[in-house]
Amino acid sequence: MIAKRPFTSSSLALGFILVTCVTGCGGDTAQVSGHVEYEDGSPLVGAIRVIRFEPTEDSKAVVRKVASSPIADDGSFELVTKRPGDGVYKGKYKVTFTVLESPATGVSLIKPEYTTAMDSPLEVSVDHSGADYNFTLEKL
Amino acid sequence: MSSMLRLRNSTSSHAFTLVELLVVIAIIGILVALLLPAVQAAREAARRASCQNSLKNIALAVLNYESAFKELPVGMTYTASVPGTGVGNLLDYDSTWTIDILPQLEGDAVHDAFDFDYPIRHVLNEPARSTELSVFHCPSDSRNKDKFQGTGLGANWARGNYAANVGAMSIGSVRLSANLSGTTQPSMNDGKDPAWAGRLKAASWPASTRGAMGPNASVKLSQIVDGTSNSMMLAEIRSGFDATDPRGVWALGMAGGNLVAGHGAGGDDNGPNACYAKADDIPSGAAISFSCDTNAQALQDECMSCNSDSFGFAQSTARSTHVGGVFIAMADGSVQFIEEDIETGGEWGGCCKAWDYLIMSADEAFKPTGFSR
Repeated sequence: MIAKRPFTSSSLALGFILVTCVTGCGGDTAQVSGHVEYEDGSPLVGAIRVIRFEPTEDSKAVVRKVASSPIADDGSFELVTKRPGDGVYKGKYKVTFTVLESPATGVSLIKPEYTTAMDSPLEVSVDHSGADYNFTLEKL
Repeated sequence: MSSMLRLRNSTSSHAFTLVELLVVIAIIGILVALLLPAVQAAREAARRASCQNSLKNIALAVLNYESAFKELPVGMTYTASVPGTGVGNLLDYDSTWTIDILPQLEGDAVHDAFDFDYPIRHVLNEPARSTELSVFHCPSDSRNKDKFQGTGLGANWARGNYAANVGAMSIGSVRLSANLSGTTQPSMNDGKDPAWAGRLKAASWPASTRGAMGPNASVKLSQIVDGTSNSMMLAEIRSGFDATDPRGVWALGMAGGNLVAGHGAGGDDNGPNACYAKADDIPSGAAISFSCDTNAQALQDECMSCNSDSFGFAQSTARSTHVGGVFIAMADGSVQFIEEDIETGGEWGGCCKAWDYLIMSADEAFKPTGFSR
């Protein structure tokens, strides 16, 4: 019994590492979630609220594809590349936003610089899961 | 006595014991379990090849039509035009590209069965529109057997899995995100989408963003200035989620029916098999009873999300059940498999990425103002 105990705990530890790895330590993608608000702490409003991670020219991402997510009423988001839950390919990204009054009018409610990868001042590097990505935007 | 004993002994030594039988059954079971996925994969590969062949045949039929009439068939025809509401909420669709090319697909009988004095939804056209045409069916799609039942659109429409590419703009009054189209939406008083009427000169989103076949309009191959081998003409689509879902209907000339439109940058239906929350926009209400909201979770699980449209525009993207991508036919008749990994602008993202350039047939590497990246 005593001889067996270290084996049991080490296999448990191994199992724990394996389980953790399945959800994030290996692979080309990472889960990215976080929170967006204005500088004064107020939430973004508008019928359409979307955050995007757009790969930069020098991004090392295996698949260069924009990841995006709707922004919830409380400002939270969880990025998706192709299917819900698939996360983001690890690499460098420019962060852009679309916030529209409604799809029918198409009126943008944020500063134009946040809407394009070329002008966006926000750049992030995604290299592991679990990190919180928080962004504060200047008001229009 | 001794001979009988020997006989009994030899008999019992030749019989199988229960354990032996179980072992043999177990081994057979394991072998079948190993083989079954391979058989299933082979069957799907065959269906996929058949799906690809049908697309090729339809593309050639379209090009034969072009040879005869010097222009591609019109994507959708409708006579009524209601400014402001847009074609997305109309019911009286007339002929459409799939009907126009029936003679090129040895479908003269079905073509002649249509009465073009009436809209396709009219009961007189029910026998023709309910005809199952195997060339329009992709065998990989398990949902193309149940006919579409419209409310205002009439009953019994046969399913189809192939759509013509209208272009980067949604069908109807053009409404796309502000960073592409500006806030003023051009009207469509003459029954043509602005991009297709050649009236939309906006620097951010000009008429050159059209695809191959439009509403009440079409192009000659010579007008596909990006090159026929670089421009999408047809794409695969999936048949509706249930009998009331209008997507994937061969004779229904609207986005999702037999057209893909607004499936690029500037909206939430961007890319092949787009899996965003309200991706496809399909008409609702009097025309169609299907509710995208009621079925939201089930649709999301299948990556077939939609929005019951209230804006009078319609959008729909290329979809398939193949692993990893969709088949599209280029304007030169070649068929390509486009992977879901293809670069797109993402949900409501700006123009233009590789997928957008496939969709737009006259863009000549167009970049909207303010989007020079």
